[in-house]
Amino acid sequence: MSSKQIALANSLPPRLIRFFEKFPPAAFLQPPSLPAIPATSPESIVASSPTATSTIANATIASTVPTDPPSSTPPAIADALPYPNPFLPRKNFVTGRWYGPVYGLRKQADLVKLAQKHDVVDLLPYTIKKPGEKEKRRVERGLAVKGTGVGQKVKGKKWERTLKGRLEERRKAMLNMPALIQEWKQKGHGRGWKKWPSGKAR
Amino acid sequence: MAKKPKSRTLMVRLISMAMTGYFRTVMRPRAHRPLSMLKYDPIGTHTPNSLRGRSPNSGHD
Repeated sequence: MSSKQIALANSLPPRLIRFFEKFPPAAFLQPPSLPAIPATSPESIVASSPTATSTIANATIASTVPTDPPSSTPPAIADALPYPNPFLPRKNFVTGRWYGPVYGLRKQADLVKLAQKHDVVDLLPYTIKKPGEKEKRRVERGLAVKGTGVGQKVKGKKWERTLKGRLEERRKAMLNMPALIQEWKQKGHGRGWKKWPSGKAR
Repeated sequence: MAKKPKSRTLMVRLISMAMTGYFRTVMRPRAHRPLSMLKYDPIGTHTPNSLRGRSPNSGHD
């Protein structure tokens, strides 16, 4: 490992370093290195500071390799990790109890932004806050607004459904109004008038 | 008990022929012919238009 890579690893902000110490990226948890970490609890992974530095350095190496996209297959990586994804809630299948994510959505977004700034966002576990995830979900699910899909429509209130027709009826009645007034005046101001309005709401 | 006699007058509703739903409520004698008046309808227009009321059957109180 070159001193340059270590320097690059040390250039990360303390918050990211703490995160990677706690949850080392899958990129350097390869099978050769797995026997060195026998236990699967995150506490055992948190080693002394030189180890942590070396892991971060390895992480930076992996981040510079463009052929390794860890974020493209989140479930596989999540399976490969020896710890549950700290960005996702998980369920204890024995008790049926749910545990919240270690980092809430706001902290996830903060970490992703920080990692983006230092170009190590690919080393983070899968989270919906990663760049491109929102667009991906939008493509998959479309606009989740009722009535905007193909062949969908909203029923609406009755006054909304009938508004167009009523406005058209009103417009026609107004256009016809001078003739109607003329007729009304000629027929004796309503004597013998037959064209009464219905009086029912439409 | 004797039935209450019908009142001499009626409250009637004059409904706009412009189909705006605008109306005026007036009182007319029961024996009078159906009312029709030329009144201003403020909804949807700024020109006066006729307001015709069908007295007994068009929604009176």
